[in-house]
Amino acid sequence: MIPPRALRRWVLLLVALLGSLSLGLWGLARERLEPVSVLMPAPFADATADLVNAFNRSHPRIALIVTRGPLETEAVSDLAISSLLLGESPYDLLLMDVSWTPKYAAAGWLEPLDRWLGPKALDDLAPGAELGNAFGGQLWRFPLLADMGLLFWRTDLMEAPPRTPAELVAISRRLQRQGQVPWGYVWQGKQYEGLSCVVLELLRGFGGHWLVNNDPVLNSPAAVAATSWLQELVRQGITPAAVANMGEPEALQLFQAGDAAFMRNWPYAWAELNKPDSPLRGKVAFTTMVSEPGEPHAATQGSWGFSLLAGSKHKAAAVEVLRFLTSAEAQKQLNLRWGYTPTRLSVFEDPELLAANPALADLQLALAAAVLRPLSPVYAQLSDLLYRNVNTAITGERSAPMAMQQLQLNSERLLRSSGGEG
Amino acid sequence: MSSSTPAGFMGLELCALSRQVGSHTLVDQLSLQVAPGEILALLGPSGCGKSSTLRLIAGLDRASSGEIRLGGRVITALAPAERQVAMVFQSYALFPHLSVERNLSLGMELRGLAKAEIQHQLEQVLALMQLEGLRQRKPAELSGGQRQRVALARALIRRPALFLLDEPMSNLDAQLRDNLRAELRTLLRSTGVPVVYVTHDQHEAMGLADRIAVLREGRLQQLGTAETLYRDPTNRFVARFLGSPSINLIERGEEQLGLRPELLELAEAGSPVPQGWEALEGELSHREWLGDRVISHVHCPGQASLKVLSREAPADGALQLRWRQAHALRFEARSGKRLPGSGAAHPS
Amino acid sequence: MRWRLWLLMAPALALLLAVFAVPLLHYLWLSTQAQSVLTGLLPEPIGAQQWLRLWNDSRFWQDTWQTLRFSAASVSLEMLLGLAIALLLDQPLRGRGVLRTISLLPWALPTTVMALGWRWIFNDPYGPINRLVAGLGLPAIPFLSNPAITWMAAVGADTWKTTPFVALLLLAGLQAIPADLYEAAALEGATPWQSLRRITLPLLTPYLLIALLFRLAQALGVFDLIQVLTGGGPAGSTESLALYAYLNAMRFLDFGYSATLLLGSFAILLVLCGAAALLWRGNSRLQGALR
Repeated sequence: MIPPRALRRWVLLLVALLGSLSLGLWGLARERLEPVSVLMPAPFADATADLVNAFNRSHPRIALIVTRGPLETEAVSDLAISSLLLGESPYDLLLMDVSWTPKYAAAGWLEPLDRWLGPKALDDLAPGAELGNAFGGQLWRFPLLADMGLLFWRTDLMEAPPRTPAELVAISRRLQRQGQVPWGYVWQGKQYEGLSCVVLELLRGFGGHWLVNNDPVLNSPAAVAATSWLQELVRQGITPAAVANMGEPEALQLFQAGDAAFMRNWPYAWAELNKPDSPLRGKVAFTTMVSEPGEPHAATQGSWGFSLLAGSKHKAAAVEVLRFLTSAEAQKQLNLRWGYTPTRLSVFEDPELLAANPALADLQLALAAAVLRPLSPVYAQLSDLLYRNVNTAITGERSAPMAMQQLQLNSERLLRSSGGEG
Repeated sequence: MSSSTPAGFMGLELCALSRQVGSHTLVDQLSLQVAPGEILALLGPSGCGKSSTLRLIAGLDRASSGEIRLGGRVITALAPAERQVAMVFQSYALFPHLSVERNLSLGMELRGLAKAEIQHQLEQVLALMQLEGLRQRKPAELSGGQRQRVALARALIRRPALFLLDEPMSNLDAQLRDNLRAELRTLLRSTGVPVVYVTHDQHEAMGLADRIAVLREGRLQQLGTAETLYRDPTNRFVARFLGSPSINLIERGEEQLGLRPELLELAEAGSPVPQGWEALEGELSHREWLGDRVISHVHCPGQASLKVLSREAPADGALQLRWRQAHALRFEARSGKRLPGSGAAHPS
Repeated sequence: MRWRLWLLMAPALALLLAVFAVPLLHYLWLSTQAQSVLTGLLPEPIGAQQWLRLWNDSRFWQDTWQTLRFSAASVSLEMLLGLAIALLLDQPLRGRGVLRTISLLPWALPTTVMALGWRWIFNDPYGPINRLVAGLGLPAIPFLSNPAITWMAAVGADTWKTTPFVALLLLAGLQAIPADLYEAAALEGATPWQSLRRITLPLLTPYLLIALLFRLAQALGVFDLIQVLTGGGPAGSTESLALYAYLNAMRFLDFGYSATLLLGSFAILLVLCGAAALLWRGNSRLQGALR
């Protein structure tokens, strides 16, 4: 008999030997595998988990690893930028919001995709989805999912959705007067990127623009009218004053509780509103944003797409991953299982999908109405100026003309000091 | 001592004073009187209730029952400030952020005395206590003795109707303590008010106090002059607590004989025992030399080591230990109660 | 002998240099450069232009004012409440230990978590406070959508979170004060208010000043609470200097200006902490003069 203490020692030694052996073998195996690391916001990391497994099964030479980033868009950017600033980013691919692309490209962090994907890469994209991927004559991003601003309306409260700002106000007032809803219209009025998306749609809807030939035109009568309209919505009680601190979740919360007739939001709200336990299930439809007669019904484009990092040591393998995850088959699965809007025309026109998800055709229409936020490396500053100043009008701190005048001046100064590179 | 009080007694009176905390009795039916100008020491081991008693008198703790009277007035329920008592704390409780001067004047400032009056009294006390040179110092910059003087000065300046001291010497070294005792006694007596002085040190109590109250577990054991307590203790506890070296206890069946070391005599082993004497045969175990005297530790069969105080040192080996029967105090072995008819003829 | 002293201090000095002086010098250098997305993130020397830009940037001054307002309000509230709670917890109460633990919980909570909690509490119209208000038939309180109110909401949330820290520090200070000092004062006829003013507060002063310095430095650098609770809004009314510097670095990729902003707010912090230190010295001198 070996005494128990000695036995334990032998067992420990054996475990240590086996452990180091397997570690070494694993290291050897890793040597031959090409690792590709992708950073995605948490919801997308969850949605693509099956696809990632499928990829790893079908590509034995590549080890695809997804880093589940934070939930919030800007927090993901902060994480990516922190790693990029430190020099050696651990990621090969980033799932990027459309508004980041010029900034990342100008910072020199991205690898142009033209060489890797060929000249016909964008041919299959649905109208609207091709926007926001190229900048400065080069392709920096390939879209995975489309996102665009939608006007949600209550089918149980009205026959047809409003098409003009005046109609929206009239219907809201009528429903509020009748006591059907306490509020008419909720949207994103908080001082953040979402407000810029709201404003962009209305700028177009009132016949205005953000930039024309790289010059801001935010004190134009149309731009002032758009902001005035938002301010009036609050002043007249069609929109609650709390809108000045509303992001997407807060607006959805109020709309889903049945406390408003209209809501501006993204397609994800459609899935939320039609969940089995949603009080508004089957009572909601969506369309594009209202606009003055003769002006376009605009939908701010907010797509997500993959960019290849310039510092990646596994570019070929990473492009392989990009192709797989943005393929028609992958997009189809993401729509079927998770309700995400595709970017490929062939997926929009897939009969199987159209049967399963009738709203797809409407989404395609909305996508065709997509408008892009300015493609500029200083877009973050431009947008910061816009949402800060418009927010002062929404809270009633300033009149709409004054807020827009200030915004115009600040934007001019910004673009001037950035040397017209914007 | 009679528990009834002459009407109009102007000193401090405690009548059946008790304090209980939970099921624990800290002070148990304590009654005593301190006359104006008299110094009473509360003496006992730690936990005997002497500090609790002092805090009751000061009003820092509430009495559970009983009464406190001062100058004929019942003060049992009064707030500390209304009792007009001054207290010297064991730690001195000097305000560390204030100078000596302001430590002394704070009370008068709080009571709203006029500036000139404050200044006048301050100068008086500073002079009396020889603190003029230290007036700007903070307590941290003073020696232990200086701090004690400041604490005394702060109590004096209060012009109290009652003076309380809680072990005021315990933070001083032995040399300083011996020097200060007489000085303190004079100072305290000069106030002309009752003084209650708490200590666990019998030398301090005997050297300072007019009378001593020995406490044990919250109960008064005996109250009297140092001499009475020493020569005529009411029980074994008091007998053992006073005297250094402490009293010898000789086992006698149901009884114990208490014999002070200076009342034992040494003789040659086997000497005949005179009339009216008693003796034990024993053996010298060791000697302690005190300079003018010697303590001999003697081992007698069936007894604990006995101490004998004498001028001359005995020779090593067997010897006889004897005492006058009249000098022995007799205690009931079990209860420690003093038995009547013993220790009457005590040498003076 | 002297060189030996320096040798002994060398590790500490090196550490201090590494964690403090080096970044500071780097920021100083950065504030003389244009390093942004427009320069491809490469530094280009531009002299004092960033500092000129800072001087003319009304947003910097607005944020400075807002940061100071937030700090002054929250720190003074925290000191007052912290002192009150510390005094309460210093009393021999039943269940004091449990009370102390409970009162520390807000401090233990991560700021982002507690800020999300407060966003919910302040929610208009579904937060608990506004539900209560609606139940009383009153109009909802625009906690987070009215520039005149939102900064106070932020102060409220910050106070809720950091008062326990102040209270704990002051409680430690209170417990260091011997009980017999109060008894001595009581015998002298001090009322509770008098012993608070004459004994507690003077003896607590070092602790009060430490708490003040800690909290002031933290409040002047407030970032995560504001970021989560309001994002700097509404209408930029709660944007702090730290948030503005963060926007410039992480969102705008304008590192030269971000460094200038950080140094600017650091200068303000230095001035204020210097003032607090002077106050401290003045205080002890004042006590000396009051003899």
